[in-house]
Amino acid sequence: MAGIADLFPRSPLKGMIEHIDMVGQCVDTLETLFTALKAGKQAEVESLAITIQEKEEAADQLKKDLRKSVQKPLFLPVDKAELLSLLSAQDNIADVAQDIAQLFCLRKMTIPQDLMGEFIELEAAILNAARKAVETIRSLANLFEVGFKGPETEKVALILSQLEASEDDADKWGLSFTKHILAKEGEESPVSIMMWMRIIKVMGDLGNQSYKLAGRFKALVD
Amino acid sequence: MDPILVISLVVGFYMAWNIGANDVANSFGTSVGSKAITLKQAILIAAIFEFAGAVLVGSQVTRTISKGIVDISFFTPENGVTIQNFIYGMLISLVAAGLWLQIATQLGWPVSTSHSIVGAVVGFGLAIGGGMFVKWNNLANIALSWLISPIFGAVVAFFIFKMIEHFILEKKDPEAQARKIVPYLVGMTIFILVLSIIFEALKNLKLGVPPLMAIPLALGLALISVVIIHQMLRKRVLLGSDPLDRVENIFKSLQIMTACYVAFAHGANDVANAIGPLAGVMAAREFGTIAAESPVPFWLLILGGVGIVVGVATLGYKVISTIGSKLTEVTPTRGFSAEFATATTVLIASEMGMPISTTHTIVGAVIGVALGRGLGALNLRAVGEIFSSWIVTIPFTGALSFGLYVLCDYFIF
Repeated sequence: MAGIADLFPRSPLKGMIEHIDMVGQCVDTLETLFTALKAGKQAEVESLAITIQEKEEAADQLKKDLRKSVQKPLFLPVDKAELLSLLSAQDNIADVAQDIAQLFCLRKMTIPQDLMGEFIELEAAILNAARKAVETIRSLANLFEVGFKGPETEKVALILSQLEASEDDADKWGLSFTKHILAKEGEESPVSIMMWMRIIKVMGDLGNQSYKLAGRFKALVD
Repeated sequence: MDPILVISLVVGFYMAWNIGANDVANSFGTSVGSKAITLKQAILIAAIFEFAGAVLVGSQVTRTISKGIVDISFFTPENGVTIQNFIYGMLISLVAAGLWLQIATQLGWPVSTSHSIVGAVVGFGLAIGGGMFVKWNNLANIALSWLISPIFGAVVAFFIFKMIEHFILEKKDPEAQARKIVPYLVGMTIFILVLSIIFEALKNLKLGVPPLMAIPLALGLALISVVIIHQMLRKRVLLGSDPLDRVENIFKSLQIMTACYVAFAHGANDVANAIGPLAGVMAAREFGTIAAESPVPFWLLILGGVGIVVGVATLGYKVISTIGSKLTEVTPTRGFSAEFATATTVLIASEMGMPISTTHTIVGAVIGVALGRGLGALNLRAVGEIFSSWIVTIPFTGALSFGLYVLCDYFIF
């Protein structure tokens, strides 16, 4: 039999924020990995990839726990199905960060000097999109506090528009990098070009997943 | 000293003690959980305001309980009922209700003390003369008021919360808005509190203030408190890095007030559950008849008040601390909405002489806040279980007091 205290289980919104914090750590580690990559430190890249994998697994566990706790008969301030699909969107960001890290472990990749500028732009765009996604979810605490209305929603709308702009940038720089790496036919080894194609695709996915999260988020709070 | 008198007082005190132990935690859980008050402060506030509510406003409900449920016009020698039967029956009802509450407290169930006593009185009525002694109509009315109390609590809590959201939280500068609006919330609380004190308390103390005077007086005191709180909040520097944190901090102070308010309302309403049957016993002894209207001696209210305070101090604190540690998800704005709704509902109901349940109202108010999207999550299974513990209460105490009465009748009387 239940007492008054049993009426109030832990807020799943807090669980969402805990999960996105772990996803945020994956993204931060990915940035460190890119720094090691640009400096040509392959051993460091590989050890950072392991760190990302551990964090991705931790996020996965948080996701499973939260999903289990939400599936009880609860009345939530938001739609349960939408909350769970937002949670998957969060988790996908960690997954993609891990995919990127692992691609750089398959083979030592050297960024062609003349494409360094474009790589840095692409990297900045996808990291920024992912960070804005993290920031969006963190705003859930305040949004809930104010009843999902008022100026707090304007702040979030601003973050979301920055996220979308970064995703556009990521597409643009990804395309440009692809074009220029393909132009290096004969200069770079075919395996290297093939690898870059995959890497650019997966790096672009980080932007895409962040963008998808924005869509899910809007569906949840509307 | 008359043994019946001694037994009556002991039994009445036992019931009051259990009321203090079981119910108080429900009123204070949210305030302790949000860290608006410490456990020690909660105990102190509960002791003072429960006592004041019981003594000052308690008599209205007390009269309803002692005469409303069993039809005493049937308690005549022709029907085979003596005054002794009535006295024993009331005492057994108190024992049965007290026992049930003690079990519920041990198990942590938030049952209604009002349900408990009503069920027990019905059980005794059935034991003594079957269905004809129970005023089924009145019982239905009381049952209806229990249905109404959670609904009323939910509706008031929903609107209070939406008001806070609309006028404070969703504004551009929620902190400045809170400084503007909160004094009026205090004023509203003071208004209702003063009104119920004037209507009831002064009647008890035989200081009859005409109702026409009451409203301007309450309004005046409310306005004064608006001005004072306004001045206090204007200068106060608030803790918290975020404007929303600072708003929550203002509501923390407000929760101290609502905690007093709930304690007062609880004392006013629930003392009747111990004192009502006792008042009936006292009147029967004194006048030798079972009177339709038993006067409630002032000292009985004091006895009930003391019993509740002792219950809070001996067992209640343990329950409050357990519940408080689990209620951290309820922030001060939410806790305030639920507490304000509860106290207002209970005070108005007491005024109308309805023995409604504080517990039911609190649970209703919590659901109201959740429906207003104010809670991170509400456990629907727990809601269901709490509802079923409410349904169990009446049959259980009814059967217990029925059984006890039959046993005593066979072996003792």
